[in-house]
Amino acid sequence: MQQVQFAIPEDEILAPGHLGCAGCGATLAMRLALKALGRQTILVIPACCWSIIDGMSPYSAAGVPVMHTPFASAAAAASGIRAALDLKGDTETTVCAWAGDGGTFDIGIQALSAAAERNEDIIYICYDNEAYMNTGVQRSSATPLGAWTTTTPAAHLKDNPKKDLLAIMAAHRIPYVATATVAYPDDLLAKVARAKRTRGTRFIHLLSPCPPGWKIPSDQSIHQSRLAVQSRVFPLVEVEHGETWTLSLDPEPVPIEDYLRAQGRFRHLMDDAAAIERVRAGVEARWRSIVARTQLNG
Amino acid sequence: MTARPTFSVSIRALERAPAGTPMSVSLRSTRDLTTGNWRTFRPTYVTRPSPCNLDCPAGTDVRAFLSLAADGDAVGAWRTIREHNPLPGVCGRVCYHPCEHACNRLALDEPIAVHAIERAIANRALAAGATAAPVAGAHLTPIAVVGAGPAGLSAAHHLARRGYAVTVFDEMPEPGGMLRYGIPAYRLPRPVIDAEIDLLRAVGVRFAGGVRFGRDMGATGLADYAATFVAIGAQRSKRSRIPGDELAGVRAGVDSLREVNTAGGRRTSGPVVVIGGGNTALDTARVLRRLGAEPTIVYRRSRADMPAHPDEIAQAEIEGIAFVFYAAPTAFVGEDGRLVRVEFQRMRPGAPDASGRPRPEPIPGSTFALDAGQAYTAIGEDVETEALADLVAAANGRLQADRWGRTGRRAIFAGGDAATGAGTVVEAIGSGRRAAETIDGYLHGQDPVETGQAERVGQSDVNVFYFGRAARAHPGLLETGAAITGFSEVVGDLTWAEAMAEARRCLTCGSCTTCDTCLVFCPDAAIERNPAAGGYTVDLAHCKGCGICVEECPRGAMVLVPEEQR
Amino acid sequence: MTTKVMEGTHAISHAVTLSRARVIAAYPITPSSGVVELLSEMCADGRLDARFVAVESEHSALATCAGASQTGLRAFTATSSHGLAYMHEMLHWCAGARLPIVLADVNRAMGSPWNIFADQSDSLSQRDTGWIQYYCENNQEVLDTIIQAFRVAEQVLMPAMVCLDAFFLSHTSEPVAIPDQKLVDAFLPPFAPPYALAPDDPRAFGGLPSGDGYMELRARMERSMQDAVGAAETAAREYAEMFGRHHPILEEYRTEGAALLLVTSGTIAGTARAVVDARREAGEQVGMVKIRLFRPFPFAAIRAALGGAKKLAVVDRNLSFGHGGIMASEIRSALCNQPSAPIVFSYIAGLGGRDVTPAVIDDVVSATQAVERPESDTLWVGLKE
Repeated sequence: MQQVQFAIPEDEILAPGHLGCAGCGATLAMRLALKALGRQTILVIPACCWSIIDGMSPYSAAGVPVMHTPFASAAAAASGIRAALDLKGDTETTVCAWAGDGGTFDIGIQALSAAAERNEDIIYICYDNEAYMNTGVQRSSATPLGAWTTTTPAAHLKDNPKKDLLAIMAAHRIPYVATATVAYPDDLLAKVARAKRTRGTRFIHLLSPCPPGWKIPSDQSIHQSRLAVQSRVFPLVEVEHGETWTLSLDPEPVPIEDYLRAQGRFRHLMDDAAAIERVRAGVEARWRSIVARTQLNG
Repeated sequence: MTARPTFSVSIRALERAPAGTPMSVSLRSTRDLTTGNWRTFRPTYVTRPSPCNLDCPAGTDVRAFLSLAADGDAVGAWRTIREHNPLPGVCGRVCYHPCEHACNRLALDEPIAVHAIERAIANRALAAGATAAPVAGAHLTPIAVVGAGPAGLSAAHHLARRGYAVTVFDEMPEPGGMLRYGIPAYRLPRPVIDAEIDLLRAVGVRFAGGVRFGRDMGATGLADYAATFVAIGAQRSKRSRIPGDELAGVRAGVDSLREVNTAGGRRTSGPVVVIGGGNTALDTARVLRRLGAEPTIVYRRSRADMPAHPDEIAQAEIEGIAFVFYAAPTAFVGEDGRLVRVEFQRMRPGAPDASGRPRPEPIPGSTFALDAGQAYTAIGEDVETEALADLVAAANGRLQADRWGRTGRRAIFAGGDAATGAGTVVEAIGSGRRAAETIDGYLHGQDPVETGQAERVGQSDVNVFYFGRAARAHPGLLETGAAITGFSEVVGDLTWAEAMAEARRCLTCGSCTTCDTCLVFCPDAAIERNPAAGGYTVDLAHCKGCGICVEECPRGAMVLVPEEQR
Repeated sequence: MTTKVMEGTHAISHAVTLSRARVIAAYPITPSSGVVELLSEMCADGRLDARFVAVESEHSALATCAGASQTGLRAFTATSSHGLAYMHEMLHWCAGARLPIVLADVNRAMGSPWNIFADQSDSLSQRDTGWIQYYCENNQEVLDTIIQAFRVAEQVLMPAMVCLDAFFLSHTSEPVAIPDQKLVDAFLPPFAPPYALAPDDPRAFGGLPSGDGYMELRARMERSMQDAVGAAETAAREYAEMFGRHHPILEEYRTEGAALLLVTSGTIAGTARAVVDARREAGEQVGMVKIRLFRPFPFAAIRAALGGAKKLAVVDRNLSFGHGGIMASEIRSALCNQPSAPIVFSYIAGLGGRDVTPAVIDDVVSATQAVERPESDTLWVGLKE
């Protein structure tokens, strides 16, 4: 038989019994990321779905220490933990800020940018579900063009493209920036593992489908995550020191309609050819710009 | 002093603040919490039939033998095939492999080359000295099999494995039937047949050659046998009923094949006409080509309508055989009692017939002729039912028997081409196997059990994303010059490495291969390995029933079952 | 022990060094910048074995301190005015997380309009965030209070804020005795929280409590705050025994037999002392009470110190809009339900750094003496025509 091969560590650090919704991409993202991070990790979780998912006190699912922090403060709190560990002589424990798109693209970007500028020795993983899902699907600056949210209703779908956080973080010229998503677990783990090996600020943008927020059935998270990559909506890349750009995967392109059609949040877009064309043009332009940057590498 | 009032809640100063941790701090794992009660659907591991397994007339567990082959276990794969089919070497060469037609790999690229792998398995297993499994607890109940073709051989194999003393009678000196006396050696080398028949002998099957039923033995000769399986095949060529078919030079293709396969062919030359579109027509033409003739195959329908296998047609074309389509013979024209010319009516496609193919209809006034000293008809074969008149009833030219071989007469069973009219080796093998089961049941007072057809795993059930594209293996062909000057096998072998690689293309539809996809993608870490049973168990205390495991299972080996239906 | 002349900001820096803080995160703001300028220098040159994190905002400063404290290390930050306001969310968080961080707040007026001068409204508007709050009169007290604040905070697991007036202390040089490190070490034991972030003991901190846990946690916090009164008294007393300087949580100055008590805090207390001395010399029964520990509010000490007077003249360099002087209102609340309570005169003075001179305080005393009861709940001192 043709074996599907995964190089996934056996250690299950994340415990079941957590409060993630059925089919939650962000929960799977954590489960997989922890396998690469290992048990010698401290997580910093600002306000986000994961504030809830980890479980109600006195329970915790993460299996590693977790510091919950207010919304804007993940990178700063992580910096404080790093400083404290270093002063204790512990340079091996990985400090990982684990934040949603709101806590990263929006309210947390100031602290993140500062930590990156200081090249704090932390990993920052943004699990991006493309809206404020925990508060009931309000738009964030990570919400894609044309998407429905409760604050971009059908009559006024989001009229701005998603913030290009990849480029923003790459512009900080930190040692390592990467994108990943749950449909490609080997790639995801390899990137988290690489981040773990690297020193300085490391940033991973991790697309995490949200069944209720994207209006998809709970079993479609992986499929949509895969389509996001195949349709070039979410390119998988690595950037070293802001300079060396590498495409992790150059998928055989899938029509963007295949990605949009299955998601209820794009339903209103489907009978508007001009709007789809606008989405497509934006996606293609960004793809071309990323490919162009990969070709600039010395 | 008033009585102290009763409160529904405590009201107090903080001198005795409730004990506990000063801050919100976790003390336990959420593993202690059950989220399984969120679930409305339960993921369940299932084994469902693959298209290849369902579509194999012999009932072979194709999926299982491909898995073993992929792991390099040729002998295990060979034994798996022989659970249903004693002739893997034969079928690896001449089966029209219906298993490949609905292969789910079509959703990705091309079907698995099952037949080529089967052939490689047979080669490798025999080269490794694999032998038939010894029969345990043999008893000596004698059973007669009339006809040593694929149906008879299959029945003999399955009966012998059950411990019966089987004697196979056949008119021809050597067992094999059409395998030996119909199919040319360049398609099926004789040592392949011999080796697989020798394995039947090894488990005690006796072959009595040169015994024609109705001539050398009759119904009374079967009295010593507890049961008889009749599988005499369809040997007699249909008459063309065209004027001039009595001319010298006009023959039945099947007769000429038998002659070549017994006495060896005589050199010939010049143009010959072969009429028909099936494998017999192809075999006849290609044999004649090897004997020096210049054959033209004339068929009354289109190329696409030809019952012959497309590979055979392609090889015939390579070998220089001409084809004329949409033409039907109207007369064999002779001089001095010898054929000199065949006259044809041109045809065109008409309304679809019962087979769904366009019924050919004449184009008025459009005729032509081909000069030829020899013409061969290959328009089908009949069963010689009259020889069995006092044994099995016949109707429409076939022996009367049900799917299980029951003739309605005690202890007499029938199958193979003679009963089914199917005309393929693999159908005959399946028929023989079913008859063997029926006979075994009959001797134990049991009727065969018809098992319901389980729902097949279709293309929508597999997740082809997990399988990379990989080109189908194509065995090499003998160089044409060499092919048409002898009877060496035309289609080459896959090396064992190539066969293993090809087997690894199999998606293993409908059967868990412990590929870990369900385990890797579970957001609830609720899939656990089950080392004892192999595979996995679902942690029902925690599984929320999201369905990702079922959706992502590469091979459709999981289903969601509504909880209320459990 | 050595004595050096130094500005208030540097008194803080020295106190933080003596307290062996390990992580210092701060963002510059006038007039507190001097605190972290010196500390960053001390971290850089090795005088202090600590990490200075130059964050991009006060919110991040306190978040970084929170991360360090949650990991079990002593953390410190300094700020002022808008910086403290920007920390507001984190102030609540650190208290709830029971992180005994110490923060020096240089009391500065809040905008708009811009004003960089002394005003307690910045810290007093954070009074309900669950932080211990000290208000200091001079630079020596600032240094001593920082050290005590670490001890009290860590003892009760509540964060502490040490407040000092902008410029009057932050930028005014005074002689300050610097205690010996060994003695400070004896006074302030190493920080050893009951739980900390550690991979070998993985715990989640701050997660949503199940059931009714939140209110019980709040009750425990409040109990700890109440315990902080006693802890602060003990710390002050033991500090005095070790270092010879006693800074009571509520200081009574020449209050014996006083019919009128000035009640104030911060540098105004120093001015009030001079006025009390003058009035006493004139034979008047006037005294002064200085509020040093404002949170937890020392109810028992307040009632004991103030309950016997006939009139209180509370001078607030702060304002709660729509209510009045914050200390005055707190004192009124402490005296409520008491059998005989003095009349409370509430004076607003010195907002935005306006000078509160001895003459101003003397006028306050005279105004209080002049009438039986105040003409209004709140009286404004020195408003220009």
